[in-house]
Amino acid sequence: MRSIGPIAVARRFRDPRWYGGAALLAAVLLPFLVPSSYVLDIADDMMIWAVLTVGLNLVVGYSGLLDLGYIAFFAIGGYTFGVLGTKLGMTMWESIPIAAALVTVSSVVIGIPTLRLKSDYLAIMTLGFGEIIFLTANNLNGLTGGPNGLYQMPVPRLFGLTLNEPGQFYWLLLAVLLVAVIVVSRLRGSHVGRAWLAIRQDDLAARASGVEVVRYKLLAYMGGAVWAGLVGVIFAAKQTIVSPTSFQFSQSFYVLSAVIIGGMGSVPGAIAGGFLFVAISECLQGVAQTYSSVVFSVALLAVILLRPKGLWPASAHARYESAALSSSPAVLLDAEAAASRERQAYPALLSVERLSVRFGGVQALSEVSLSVGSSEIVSVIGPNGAGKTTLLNLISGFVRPDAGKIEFQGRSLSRLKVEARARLGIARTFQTPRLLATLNVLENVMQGAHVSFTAGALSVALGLSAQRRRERARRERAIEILRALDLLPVANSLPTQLSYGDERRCEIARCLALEPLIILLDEPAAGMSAKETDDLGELLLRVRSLGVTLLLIDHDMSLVGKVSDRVVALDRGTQVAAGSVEAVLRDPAVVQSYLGG
Amino acid sequence: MLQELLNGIVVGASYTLLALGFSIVYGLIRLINFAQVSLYTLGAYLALYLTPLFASWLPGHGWVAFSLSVAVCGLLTGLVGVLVAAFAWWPIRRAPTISMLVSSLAVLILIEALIEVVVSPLPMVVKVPVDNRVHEALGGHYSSLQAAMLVGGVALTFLLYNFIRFTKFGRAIRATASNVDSAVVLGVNVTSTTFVVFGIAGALAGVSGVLVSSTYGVASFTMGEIVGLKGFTAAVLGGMGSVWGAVVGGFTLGIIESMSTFLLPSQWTAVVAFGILILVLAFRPTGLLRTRASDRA
Repeated sequence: MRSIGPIAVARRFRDPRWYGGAALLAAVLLPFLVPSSYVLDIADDMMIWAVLTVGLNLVVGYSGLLDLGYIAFFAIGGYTFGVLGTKLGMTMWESIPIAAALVTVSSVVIGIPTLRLKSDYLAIMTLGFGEIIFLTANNLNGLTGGPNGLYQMPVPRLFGLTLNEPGQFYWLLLAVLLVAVIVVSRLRGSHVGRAWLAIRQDDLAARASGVEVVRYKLLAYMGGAVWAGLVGVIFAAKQTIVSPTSFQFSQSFYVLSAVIIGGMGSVPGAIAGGFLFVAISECLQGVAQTYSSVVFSVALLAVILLRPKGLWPASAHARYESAALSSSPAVLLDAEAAASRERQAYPALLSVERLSVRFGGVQALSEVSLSVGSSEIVSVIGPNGAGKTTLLNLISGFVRPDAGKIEFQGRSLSRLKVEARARLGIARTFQTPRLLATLNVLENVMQGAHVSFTAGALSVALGLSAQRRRERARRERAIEILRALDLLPVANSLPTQLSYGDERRCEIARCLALEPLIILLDEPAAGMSAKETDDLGELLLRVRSLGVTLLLIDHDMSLVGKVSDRVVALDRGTQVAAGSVEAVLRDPAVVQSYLGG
Repeated sequence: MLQELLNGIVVGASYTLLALGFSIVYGLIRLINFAQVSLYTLGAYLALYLTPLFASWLPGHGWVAFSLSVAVCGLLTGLVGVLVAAFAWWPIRRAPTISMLVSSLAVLILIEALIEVVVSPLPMVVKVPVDNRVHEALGGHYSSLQAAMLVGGVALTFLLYNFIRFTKFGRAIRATASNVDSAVVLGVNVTSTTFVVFGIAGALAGVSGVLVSSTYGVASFTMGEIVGLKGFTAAVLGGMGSVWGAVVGGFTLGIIESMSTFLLPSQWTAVVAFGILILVLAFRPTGLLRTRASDRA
């Protein structure tokens, strides 16, 4: 047996399972070691806040949606029990599903019009929503009791036990917090979490990998809201009263502060932030209650300005351990996926007919036609401003044409969005690499495989075994791709730590993870050394030999000459030549467009 | 009916000022400047001290003292606006938008909290040393201070429009708003332009706060929150980034809200404004006006 040195022990303690387990053990022992109702009451509050921060972390930290009215969902939960309990005598348990339904409906009503827009509008909409819920609670006297609130709800019972003391709520809250942490961590470790982080980083890259941005944003907004609604019901039961003061705008601000101070996107950070908030408020209680807003706003400013990742920054989720290294030759493309793909005979895999688009006064592309057959490498060349990138943007769906049509496998793409085209097997790279800065290389590639995950967020949350198997398979697949591209040594690095050539290849790895039929490459050799360009050429030929079609844009004629089956030359939006490499490069119109005249 | 219309127009003037502040900062750097809301409150609280001070210096000249107070409070909140830009925006100008929004929000809460701690958590009565007579017009009545609010709002809007339209600095603002990179190339000092715009937005918010608190006789440390939401709604309603959009949005919102009191008790006006915000964002997110390049700020 290997002996374990202090460094290994320290490293092992960084593993969330270790400190998580230690924290859980401490939490279980607390009521026995410190059976004081004062301490347990504070512990209850801490856990209520931790559920809120873990929930909001999903919205703000993962998905980058600034929700300034999160407490409104907490209020909806609280008042659902308040109203149902006092008017209809319903129990806490009966109120929970109703609260969850109300929270879901209201998050959809607020989310759908807003999440389509620029993300900062969400901030103001949620702020408004929070104010409205507060105003409603405060003014709708008949239903909510107005400023006095509601009380005398039925005391909840559990296993014949009456829940009316802090010590008894303790176990319920601990269980809820534990479930919240498990569910949120599972989501983070799945394609759902990677899609959220991709949206937060760069929603163009997310869409190009097939993520339906609005749907996932809504999922995050709802997924966060549900926790607030749930714990809101328990909060009302524990307090035995619901009144508007618990749901002011400042409360939303405090939850947000706790998430950001703890560390956006970090579950332990969120919990620490929530605990810290309750601890500090408790210390200020009586002494300087009014100073709490000052303290928290200053702390928040300090964190934003000086330590933007928070006190407990988020860490990479999937890591590559070298032990898993196998010696078999690396496989570039999933044979099974390739075989399952229908291989019908089309006149062309991709065909573009008389495509035109105009940006303001500039005719970016005019009547360009092009067809690309299966397993072909076609290059598009032309001077800057020729419309090459515009052509790729039209094919991948980022730009809509004014006229002309694009067909893929014989079907028209004109009605399909970017993400739907990705699902058909159209992958692309960008002129400047758009890797996801907070995900390591391995996770970047796994995110690229987004379309191969079919499971919904619910089966991820429940940890269904089919989903877990798929996750493991995709992870192995991502490692295979990295190995084939010689990127394994940097699998755990962040994109910012990569050399330019590695960054480029990592983008190609992301495309391969999508198991594409065609990859659109936008200047993959830009900024590469001669050696790197040479290797890239080899790689492209290997990818092609697996049956993947490539549409390549590049200025590097050595690369274009080496790999292309055919070349199309564009100049100022029109096609000036097409044919074999030699013919096109010798074409007077092409020479003219490059040398000017 | 005419009375409500009159009230709506007067309130609309204050929304316009806030909307202008949101709009010019957003037009320039695409940031919802939450901090501006606290400058509205700060303006009102500064006037709480400055108006009586100036009145004691200028006995018998109530309107002069009040106008002086409005101007000085505007200058001071403008200055605070520049400081906010320097400390809470400039250091993180390259950070993700969410950090800038949160930082701006933290400033809002900080300034409100400081007012709460230093002055009082309780609402304050605002007394103005002017002869606040009630006038009759169009079958309704309005007070002198309401008239002052309307005149002040319109005058400032007019000033701002001409400033952006005709001065060298205004051109710098427009150049930066349309394209930061080319503005830099053309020799515009983008940093100082942005600071000045933050200052203008702060001054507008401060003046608005003084006028509103003086007209209605009350100030509280949270007075900006709902009004800020309405100012933002007005800016979106007219079209973010446009001066005329803010004017149209501000007065439209003021009038709709005032008319809504026929149907709903006045404490629900915020719900009306929020409903408008949802509808506009859902169906016409670019606002009612089509923005022209010439009046974008």
